[in-house]
Amino acid sequence: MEVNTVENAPSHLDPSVVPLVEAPAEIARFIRKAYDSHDHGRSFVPRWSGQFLSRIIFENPAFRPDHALGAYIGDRIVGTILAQPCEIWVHRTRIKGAYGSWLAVSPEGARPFVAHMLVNELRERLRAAGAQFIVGVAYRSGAGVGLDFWQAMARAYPSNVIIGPDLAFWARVLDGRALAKATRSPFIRIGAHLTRMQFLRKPKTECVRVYRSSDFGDCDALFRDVPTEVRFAPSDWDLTSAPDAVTGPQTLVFDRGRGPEALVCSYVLPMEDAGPLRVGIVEQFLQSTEVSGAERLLDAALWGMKRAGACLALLPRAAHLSRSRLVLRGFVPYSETFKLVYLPLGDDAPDALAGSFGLPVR
Amino acid sequence: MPVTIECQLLDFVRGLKPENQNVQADTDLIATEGLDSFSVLELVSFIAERFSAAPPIGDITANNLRTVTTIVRLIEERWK
Repeated sequence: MEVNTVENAPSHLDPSVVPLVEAPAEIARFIRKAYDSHDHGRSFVPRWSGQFLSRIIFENPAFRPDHALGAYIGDRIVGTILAQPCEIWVHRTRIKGAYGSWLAVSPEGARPFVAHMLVNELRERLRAAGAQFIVGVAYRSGAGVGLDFWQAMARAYPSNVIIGPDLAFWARVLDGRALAKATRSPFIRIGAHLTRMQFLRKPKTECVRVYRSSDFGDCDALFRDVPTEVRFAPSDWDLTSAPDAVTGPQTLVFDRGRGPEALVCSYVLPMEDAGPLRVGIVEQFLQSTEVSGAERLLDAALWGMKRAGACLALLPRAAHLSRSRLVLRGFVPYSETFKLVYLPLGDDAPDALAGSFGLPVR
Repeated sequence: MPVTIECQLLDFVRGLKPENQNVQADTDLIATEGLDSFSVLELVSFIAERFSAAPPIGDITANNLRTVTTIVRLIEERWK
């Protein structure tokens, strides 16, 4: 009897898509290798470490094995797709879904259908579990499963895959010297703005502190009141800081004694394809309309990211963030643009993502 | 004489890339790498537009896309 092992498997064997069994560090290594082989080390996308992946995906209390799938030929992994359980507000309705991420296919395992199978299996499993949508971020990468793939998916399956609005960023240089060393990175394009760089000073931290579970009600209200049609609806776990900024998101709040009036969520990731460079992502910066002085919260987050080794901070552009305030704090528009990719799954999901949204970037 | 689905599909697949010029109805498109990730999606769009057929995402597998003959059968029996 012939057994299909990796060595003698027919080259056209359909892979099987099942929950990943590898350890987070191994999954992160596979993803990094797959992306490096497609993008030849020129990818803009910050890479997740095993620690970060573990925190974001596997330690999430809402995680189930359906959120981390692998494509296997025999016992060899040839592809991955990950999803983080999340909820969003659509107008005043809160719906469950997931952030999809790291659709990766290794060149050795590449088949025309591996990426499709991974996407489809994730859709089916999450839909069966009650998820209403999957949302993710795509970037025009060199090959493989970047924005081009998703745009082709959207043309082939226009009601299943929707390319959403642009996702653009503000950038703030935290460490000009470290940034200048990252010559292989697309970040060097920000070099023209270096002359406008403001030195980052240690901020005043009165009224700034780490989020705690008792803040959840106030913070939940801040998210609910964001003036966008679609916005993040975090859980207490989502807002609870990881042990440090490179392990997972950190949440700081601005509290003058009446409970949080503003919050900022951020984390730091390595750009492993771009030399010794770490980039900080400010996922959310929210404040109630009447609060003043909350900018020091953003300053505190930037300072914390710099101390964690980040030389550049990125903040998604959002209509509710004042351009002039950000420019005054040393932010400049960053030229790279991402796209949101949206997969509606259930009846409660909107047909398309609204033009105004406030979602964390992961 | 009407142009068959098979003929139209063969024309489309042969036009995807120069290496596909000799593709026949029973050529293994997967083993010969006649289709890649993007051309599979172009093929799906072509099938939808030309034949008013809708291949579900879940049907995009190696077995279903192995030859033009198998694709024709699926269009006629399942996707229309």
